[in-house]
Amino acid sequence: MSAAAAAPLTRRALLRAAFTAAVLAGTGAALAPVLRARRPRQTLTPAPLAEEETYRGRHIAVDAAGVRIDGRPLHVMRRADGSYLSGINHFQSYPTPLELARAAVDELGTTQLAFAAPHHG
Amino acid sequence: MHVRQNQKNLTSAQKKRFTAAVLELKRSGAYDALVRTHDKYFVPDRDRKLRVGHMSPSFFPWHRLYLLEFEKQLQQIDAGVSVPYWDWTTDTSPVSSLWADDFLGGTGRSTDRKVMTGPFAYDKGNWTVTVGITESAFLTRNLGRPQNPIALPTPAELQWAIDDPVYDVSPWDSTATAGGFRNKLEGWAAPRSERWRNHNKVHQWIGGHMTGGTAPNDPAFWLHHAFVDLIWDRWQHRHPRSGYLPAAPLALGDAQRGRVIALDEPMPPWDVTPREVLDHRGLYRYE
Repeated sequence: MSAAAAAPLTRRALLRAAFTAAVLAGTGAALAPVLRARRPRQTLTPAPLAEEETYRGRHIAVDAAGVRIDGRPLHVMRRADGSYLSGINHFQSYPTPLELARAAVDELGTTQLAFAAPHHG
Repeated sequence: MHVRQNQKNLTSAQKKRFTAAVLELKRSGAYDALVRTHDKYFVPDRDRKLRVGHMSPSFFPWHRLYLLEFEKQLQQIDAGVSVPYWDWTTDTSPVSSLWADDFLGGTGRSTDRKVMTGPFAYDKGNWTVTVGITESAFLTRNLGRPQNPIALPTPAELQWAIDDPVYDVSPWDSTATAGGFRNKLEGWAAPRSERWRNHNKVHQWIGGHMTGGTAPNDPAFWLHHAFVDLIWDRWQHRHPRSGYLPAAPLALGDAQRGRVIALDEPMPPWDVTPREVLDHRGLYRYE
């Protein structure tokens, strides 16, 4: 892999690590503006600003920083029609990030997402 | 030249040779490099980037080359092995011989979807997932998705795609619904009541790793895509006067220009054009 390709991955991984540390330390709110500013544009556009719920015993959070399940980031992508795909579901899409997150929980069963996952090049 | 057989016709000895070669490829690390390639080239169609593998006309030729790469590496381990195909319109049971202990192993357990049987079960010690997006190092499956049942594509559903005489249509992505064999078979184009069809639906039916970008972690991926490759042959045979589209690079001003592969444009990472792999008869054939 080239250095140019590796750089954003590393930055993303660092951001993830920083976010995770912030959540654990309870300072997520303080870091949020920083994450919003530096987040790659692939994540969320309008959608509701922040939603969270417990679904099948798992904590789903959707906000400007992305989608998280039990505090772990779910990689989100968009289709040309605006619908959402995730790292868990590449072969079907969902109208909203919340529905996307629920579908990921359905597929995960009791498994946890990894804190840092591979990304597309 | 070698023959790709229907998986249901393989002898026990052939199944054993195939799975042994796959396990050896995994042991060497080469298998995981292939998994990374698939994930890397999955580019969704809202991104203003080149899409070669999915949501684009080169879905068929790109996966043809991807399977050839896998098969070439298998044959370096055992020259007598080829990739079998799974006709998912006929072998539709989660307990068919495809999912038996002596071949791919069965579905995952209900809690965490962990595959417990067959050569790729984590507990056998030969199949640790290293390119994944979950914490689990074990292969996962959820055949038929019992909590929200899904059926494999029917022969009629497959035929609906094959009957379309046009290879692909603008805008050459997952929203191309005006027709086109490629999007009907890839499975984004479907009647409103169904939403997903054919190739996409098979990924969903298998579940677990097969629903994500690292789908090739499940060796079932190769048998599924060998059938997809065979279906491209069937379409060509049914429509001898139709061909790959777009035939020429898209015009200046077309929003898809530079984002999809025309007939004579090279596909990364192999630098091979669709035209070069329209016909595979010099390399392999299907039984």
